[in-house]
Amino acid sequence: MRDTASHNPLVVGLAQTLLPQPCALVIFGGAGDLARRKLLPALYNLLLDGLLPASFAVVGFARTALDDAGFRAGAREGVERHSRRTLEDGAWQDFERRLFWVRGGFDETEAYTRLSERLAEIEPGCGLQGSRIYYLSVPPSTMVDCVERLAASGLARRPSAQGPWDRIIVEKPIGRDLESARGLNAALGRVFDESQTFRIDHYLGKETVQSLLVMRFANSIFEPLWNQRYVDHVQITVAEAEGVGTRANYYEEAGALRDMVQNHLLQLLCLTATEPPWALSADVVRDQKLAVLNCLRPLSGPDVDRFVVRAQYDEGFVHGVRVPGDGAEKNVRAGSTTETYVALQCFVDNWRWAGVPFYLRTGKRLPKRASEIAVQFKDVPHILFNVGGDEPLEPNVLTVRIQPDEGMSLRIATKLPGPKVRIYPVRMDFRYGTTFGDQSPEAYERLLLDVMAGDATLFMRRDAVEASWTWVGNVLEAWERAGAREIPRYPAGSWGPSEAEKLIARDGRRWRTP
Amino acid sequence: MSLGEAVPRIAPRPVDVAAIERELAGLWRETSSASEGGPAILRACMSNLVVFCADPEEARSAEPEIAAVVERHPSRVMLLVAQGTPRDDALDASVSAMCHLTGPGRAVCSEHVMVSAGRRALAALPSAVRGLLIGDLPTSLWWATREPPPAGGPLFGELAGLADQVIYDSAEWKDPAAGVVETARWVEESARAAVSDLAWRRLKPWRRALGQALDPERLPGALAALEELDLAHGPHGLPEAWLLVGWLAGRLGWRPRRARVSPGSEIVWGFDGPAGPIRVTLRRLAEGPPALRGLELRWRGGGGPRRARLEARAADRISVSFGEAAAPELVLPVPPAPRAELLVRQLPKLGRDRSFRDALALARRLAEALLP
Repeated sequence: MRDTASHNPLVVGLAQTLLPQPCALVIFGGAGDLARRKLLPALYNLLLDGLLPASFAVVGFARTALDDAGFRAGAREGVERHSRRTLEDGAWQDFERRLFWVRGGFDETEAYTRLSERLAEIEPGCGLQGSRIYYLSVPPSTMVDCVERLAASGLARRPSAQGPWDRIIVEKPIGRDLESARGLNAALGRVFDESQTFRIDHYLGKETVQSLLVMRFANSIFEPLWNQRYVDHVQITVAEAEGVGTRANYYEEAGALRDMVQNHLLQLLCLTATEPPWALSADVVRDQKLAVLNCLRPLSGPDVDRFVVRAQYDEGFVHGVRVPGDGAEKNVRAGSTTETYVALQCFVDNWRWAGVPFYLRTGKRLPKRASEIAVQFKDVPHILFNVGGDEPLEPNVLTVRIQPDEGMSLRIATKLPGPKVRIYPVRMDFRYGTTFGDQSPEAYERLLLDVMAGDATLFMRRDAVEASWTWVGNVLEAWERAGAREIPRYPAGSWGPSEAEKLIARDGRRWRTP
Repeated sequence: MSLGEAVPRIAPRPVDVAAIERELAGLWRETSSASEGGPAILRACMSNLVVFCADPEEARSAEPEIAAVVERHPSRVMLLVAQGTPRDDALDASVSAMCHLTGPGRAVCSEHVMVSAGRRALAALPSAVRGLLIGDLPTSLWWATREPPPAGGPLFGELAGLADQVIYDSAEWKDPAAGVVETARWVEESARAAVSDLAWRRLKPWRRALGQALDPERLPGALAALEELDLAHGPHGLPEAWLLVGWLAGRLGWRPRRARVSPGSEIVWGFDGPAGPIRVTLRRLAEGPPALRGLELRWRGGGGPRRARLEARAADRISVSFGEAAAPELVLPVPPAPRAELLVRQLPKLGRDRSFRDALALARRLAEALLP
């Protein structure tokens, strides 16, 4: 990470001491869905905010038959449809002239030569000195090939103290199990140093997720309660209302455990459970998150059946609309047992969290799109207000809402107005959308900016990826051993199968409604 | 009604100063019951925002800016207007709400209190504010008048004492030299509040542009070897120019030596830098906005270019060219900077800005050279 302020006295005191550095961003799969929906709109919004480096270029690279004009037209359409702010002609013209296209297959050596030549041609005109970011928005099966060909064509250089640099961004999934993740990481490591490698998990770029550490460590009231003495349990939910849809080909091979739990949910768990980092530098924060993963109690053999539920959605209604079951979706193979839902219970075996269950669940075709972390505190002694137990007190719950309606709330008990002592749970609520007038930037805006500045704090490090695959791998192995079999089903539009209800109910608890 | 569209403002209703809080509570009760079928009304508040205007005309021009500010930074607004009532010794007040849609069927509203004071009632204004501040929220004072804050005397002192932050705009001061000197003196003596000049915020794109253009990785040695700086500004843009020079001098270790003021429009300063003397020329353009318009920097030695030019191109970009090249090598976007936008960006920044304080302290020395 380059602390620009220590080299350049003129950036001291500017809010952003880690300045994004002039560079070309090469998007492998530049005409794809991610580029049009997320990456190009994110870059355009960064330009509007004046946050892009002074000298900058975007080069789309894929087999698609496009030229610069075609790429620009597609980018414009993407920005018009998906940008959080409307397209302004003046700014667009400034943005557009930095967009270029190189046509070529990811497996064609000559294509990399063309890419190299085009970059050499573009860079001087854009005021660039040769620093590059390669964004691999490509199918997992082609990643290693791309990395090796980048190396073979001289496009990937090891870091040096002086001169231009290269960085690489890889999208999830980082492998489909521990072995393949190690294989991909090894391939990356043969070409790029870990400091050049940015494994993106867009959840970590979301405003509320970043705010989690602030909430925990910039307020004195939460941290003393943040342990097994006061916390009854934690629920982490990432719910989607959509079905497998157009991602069926990928999803059939992945399933919810690989697609969501191994990365997003475990990352949220890490941020919830981590010890206070002693500094905010990338490696310190990531060391602490790794420590959480290393404390996860391994699940194996019979534990998997006891603590993990997988299921598939059936036909049902979501938001009042009839939707097909997973088996009837296009590109889902007949008799598929790929899980679209996972609920599990796990434990972080360290001093702070000893005995506190963490319940994680994620699924498709649930009643709504909602992601949240809910920390439920222990009951008060049954002495004053709930002696008889006829009217049990609702426990305090601190909920961090990640999407939609980002914010947090605290449920507390209060007295209903009137002569009698009647207790009623109320919610103290903080919402980003109504408290702050400004829109939150999209996760990709923050993450792209961090890569340009060389700050890896919000990215997954190799050891953490492998640690999470190690933990998830035990579950996958147990499922593999059990062989293909009927898995529980749940109607689309419900909160999951009855088995998931039982998983939590046997501890005397219940799932929250996000 | 589409998103972003303003919901009609809840009309101001006159109220006794002592009854403002009660009237506001009543306003919300009425609003929530009246909004059945209409958008759900949410009251939002990030800050107490105290705005001082020296006369009703200033208040009229500030009103639309306040509406734009609370859309992005919802606040309890207390607009204080001097000479705003025909009764010389009285305070008149009204309450209303400013609303805008934030989602389908959902409007967010900010409370708006206006207190007008006759000439002999000015001293009572702080007491009205004190009773209306919402606890546990930051308080910002926007000194929205063409006089520098210290010219407000004890009234300003009392209002600043209630605030966590004081914001003013030196761009249109009638006497910039005296204003900078008095304000810098007050800032140096003020231990409490965060202080910001909107002119300093206008400089941010220039500071960023300079930081990028002269980055030692791009032009090794150029910063240390600077020998000349020519700076052009529009009429009334002198405080902004001084702040920029003050900032550069502070960052690069220059010490002011002497000034030569040419009759008309040019001031030449000599500085001692770590590597030798630096000549700084400030030129006032005959017309244009009261802001910095361009910079030219020259430095000694080196194998690369020895000159950089930064120019404001339209309102939304700064171009940077090097050496003798006519075409810009860099074009940096400048986010829109109307006063309301600058306020929105400044309001959440409640920390002490050391760079600004250092720049202002040096600007004071430059301004003093112009005073008799």
